[in-house]
Amino acid sequence: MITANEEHLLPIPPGLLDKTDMRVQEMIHGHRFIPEQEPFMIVLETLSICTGIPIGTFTATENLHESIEYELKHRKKMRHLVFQDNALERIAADERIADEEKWRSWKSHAEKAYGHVGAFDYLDVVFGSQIEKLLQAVRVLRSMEVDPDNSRRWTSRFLAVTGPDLICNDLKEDASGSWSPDRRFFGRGGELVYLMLNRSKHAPEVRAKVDARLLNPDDPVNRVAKALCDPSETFSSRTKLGYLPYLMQPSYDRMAQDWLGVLGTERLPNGHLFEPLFRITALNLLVYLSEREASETGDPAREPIVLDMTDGRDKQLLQCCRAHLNRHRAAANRAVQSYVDRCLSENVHWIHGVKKGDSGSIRKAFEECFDYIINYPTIGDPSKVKREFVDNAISRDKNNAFTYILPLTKNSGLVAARRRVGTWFAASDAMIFAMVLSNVAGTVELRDFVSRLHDRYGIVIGPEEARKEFERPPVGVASFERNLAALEHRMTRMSLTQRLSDDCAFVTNPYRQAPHAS
Amino acid sequence: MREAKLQVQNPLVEFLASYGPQPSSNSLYDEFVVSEATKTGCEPLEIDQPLIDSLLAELQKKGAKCVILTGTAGDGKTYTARQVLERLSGGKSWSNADKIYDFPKLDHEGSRVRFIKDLSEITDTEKDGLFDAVIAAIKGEGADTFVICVNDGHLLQFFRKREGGRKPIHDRIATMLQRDEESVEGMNLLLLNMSRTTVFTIVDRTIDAIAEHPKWAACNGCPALHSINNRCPIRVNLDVLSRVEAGSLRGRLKDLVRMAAADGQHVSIRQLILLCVNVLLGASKDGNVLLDCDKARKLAQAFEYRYTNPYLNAFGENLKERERVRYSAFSVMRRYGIGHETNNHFDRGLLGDDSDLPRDQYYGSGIFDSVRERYLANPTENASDFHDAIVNQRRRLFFSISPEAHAGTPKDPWALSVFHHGKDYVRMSDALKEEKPSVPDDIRRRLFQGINRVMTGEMTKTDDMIWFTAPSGVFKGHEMALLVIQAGSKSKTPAGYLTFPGSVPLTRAPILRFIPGADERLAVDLPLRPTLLECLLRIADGAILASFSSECRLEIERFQLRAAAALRESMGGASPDLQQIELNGGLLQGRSIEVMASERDW
Repeated sequence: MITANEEHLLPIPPGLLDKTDMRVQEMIHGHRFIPEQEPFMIVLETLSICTGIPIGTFTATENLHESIEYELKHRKKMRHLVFQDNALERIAADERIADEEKWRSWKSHAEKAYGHVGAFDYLDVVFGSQIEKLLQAVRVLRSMEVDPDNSRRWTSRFLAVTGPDLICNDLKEDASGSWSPDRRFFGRGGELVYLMLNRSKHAPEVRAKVDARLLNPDDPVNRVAKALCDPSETFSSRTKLGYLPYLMQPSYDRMAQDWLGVLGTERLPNGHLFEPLFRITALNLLVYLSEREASETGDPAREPIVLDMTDGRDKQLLQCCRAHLNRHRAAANRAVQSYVDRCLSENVHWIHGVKKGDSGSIRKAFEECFDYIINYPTIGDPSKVKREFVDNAISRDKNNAFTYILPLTKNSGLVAARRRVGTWFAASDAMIFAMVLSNVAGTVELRDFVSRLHDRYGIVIGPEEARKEFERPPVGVASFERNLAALEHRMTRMSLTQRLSDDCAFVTNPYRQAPHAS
Repeated sequence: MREAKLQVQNPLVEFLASYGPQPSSNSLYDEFVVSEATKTGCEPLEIDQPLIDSLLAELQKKGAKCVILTGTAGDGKTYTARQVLERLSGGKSWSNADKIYDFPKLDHEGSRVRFIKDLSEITDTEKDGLFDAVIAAIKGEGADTFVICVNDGHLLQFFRKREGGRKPIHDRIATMLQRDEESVEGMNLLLLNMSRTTVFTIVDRTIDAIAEHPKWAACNGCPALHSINNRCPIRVNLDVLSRVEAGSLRGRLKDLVRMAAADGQHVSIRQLILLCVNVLLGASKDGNVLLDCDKARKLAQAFEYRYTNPYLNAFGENLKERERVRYSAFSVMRRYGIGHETNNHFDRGLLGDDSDLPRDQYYGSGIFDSVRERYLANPTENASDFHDAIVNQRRRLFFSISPEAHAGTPKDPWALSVFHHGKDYVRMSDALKEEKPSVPDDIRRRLFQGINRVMTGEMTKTDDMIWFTAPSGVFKGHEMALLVIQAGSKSKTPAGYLTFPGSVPLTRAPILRFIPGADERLAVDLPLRPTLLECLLRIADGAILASFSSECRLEIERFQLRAAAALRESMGGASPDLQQIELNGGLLQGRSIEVMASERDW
């Protein structure tokens, strides 16, 4: 199906995709998503861009993709103090060293480890050469590390972001000790989210909320980070933003609305916004992918998300949720097939090549359509070449929705995994919380909440939604009833629902309720 | 055969059984009971409903409000409406076939009070026909007044389906339901959610209605009534149910029902009657669920009181699991784990036949002594029987010992339940009901200590103030508790202080309120549900937080977060200066973090 979106397909900024081996998924959903970039890193990457170039600074037009270069600050000394230094705690606690000696003793250790004499002189004034005060500040920042039990290299360890100086970019260190940007974890997923928000009709509001709630320089923890940064350290790198093919998509506005929903919970302290934000971002990305796929394959609607709330206790439902997860993944492959078919069927070189059996035309067709060089010398059956190319595309490591969907959903609390059972769509408590924050401004009836999740994301939980989604529900109505009851039970445990009677329950966003009037 | 016919049969027993756990309790319950009453010739149970008088007064007013009675099945919506109608009309009532009963108002020509017995029982077309008139009545514009019985979900659906545009009435009613408001300005409506108006006296009124039923007189002449050693078990159980002293089934039942309500588990009147009837008539022999006069006599003659134990019947033990789960009354009773908590004091007493423990001719030594003797003679062989029997004895003790007399001692009957601090909860809730509401010092201190331990993660002794910390919210992070504010009484910490507001109904949880001094409208509440209070007091006693449900943890965290946000808001968006927390000799100490402090002082 050639959709109305086709006219809004944006040209690729010059040079941007030169390094990719082919352009297939790039043109379906963008450049790019990688499995190593966990959903939380996606939002960290987005925020990193926002510190330099606020959302809405550059706009895309029908013929012009945003061409944005942004700065990646290194903050090497702060990151050394937080992630690398091992002398501070030890020296501060060492009773054999006199208090007034401790500062000097630590500094000489730290300078040696850092490899630069005088590297930490700037701290003398900030902390009055008192090691206890420095230790206190370092401890505060250490407690702000995201996912600290994961043993990533220290240039890929990150702090939770409540202010601009807390941004830690994903970098690598070469043999000489100098740093440069790396794409190991910040794989451009955050750039795509940035572009989606940038193209949504809510861009100015999102910018204001992001600035106020996540990038506030006056945030107390940010002040600590700022104190630990060397003001004279100016090292940074620059990089260009990735490619998001379509100018307008319903997903962009939906994503922006959810960001506004989460960032609008004024009674939730800033530090608590990040987790629901990355979870709801991941859900939006899944829906974006499935909408793009449906558009490519010509399916009448995106794949629904049949979401288990019973923790796998309802076996039939579990099977159904597993089947639907697989349908999402299969749709990714079907989209690749459709895209390749469509591009080639419209390409004059391909038509000519097939007709005349001309290898040169076939090669040209692949170059033109997918920027892909066929590197074997003779070309036989064109349909076989096409088949091999599709196989190639659906088995790529990077930017392959088929393999990306699983880590995306698993790491955001949308999919559960269990040995001997496999993986299936199932919401974690944290994901339920994220959905409430982004979808409930005050109070709604439970049935309306569940219905809203269906309308916006295609999530099927209760019997009503199953009836709407399917002509013949894949499992009995009783399973969906139990599923809805299980959702309510879990939400009650989290104090998110209030049941008035056996027939009526309300869902409340506890951080947006009107204050108690005394 | 001839002899059996001469035996006294009290029709009240059969009639009460119709209120008990039986498959026949269906949706048209009120009608069903009325027809059973006619059949047996017994007066239906009249449970005093204070609402009836006020509704009657309302409907007799000029421009009476439209009345909507909502609530869970069994809350007595139809019962209340019928009583109102009978009093309004001087005895007239609807027949079972009537869905809507129109009663002409005396003061207005042609206008009526329209009683809708159950809105969910009438067809969609009929509802469409009623809709405009109901809206007009709510707006105070119609000629007719309505009394509508309906559950809240159906009520909202009635408006949602029919109201066009922005659904203003639907939304206002939804808000009223949620906020527990009975009436609001601009709406000629009285909205009574009977699930939320559980009144404390309901247990007494229900038991009295049963125990004081005039038909008990029909037992007179029955030899089982007057037997000294083999008294009729129904009458023995009635004695148990009727007792009013502090250490009684009634006393504890009152506590349990109000604690369940405060924990969000509402017990409807129908369930409460069912529970009382089961206490009275429950039987577990040969698949009999409820006693009748013949069975009662036989069991008494054989001294088989172990089958009629009211302290087991209270938990629905006479029912099969699959039947029992259908009745919420029993799930409420079973949540307390009464009898399953081992306890050295009571167990030793029971095993050694301690004369200090309350005795009971029928349900104490009468059924327990032989089991105990067998166990003492051969513990391995008789362990299982003895285990069941001692659980039952613990249950009897729970319902027979006065907590007031033994609070805080090993003899506290609450030690036999999972709510070891049940007495504290009741004391606290009672104290807040007093004219000068206040929380007993010892409870407040332990509560604060428990909260401080949860908030700071330190095993602190600090109990004079709450140290509000700010959880960082870092994803998968290692938490470092930073102090936001210390809050005590208003005079001690005016910048942010704590109160326990009074006049909370006894069926609601007491509230701990944090008020940011700069703006009292930003107050944040922590409902001290019995489960939460239990958790916090146990933590103060030295229990580890991790052993409690994440639910309590979440509730405290929410309180912390909302308090921090309220404080921030009261300061015009500025962040309070955070402090590092240290433990010094068991007491909390704050240390400022200079680099974190804002530069606003300059």
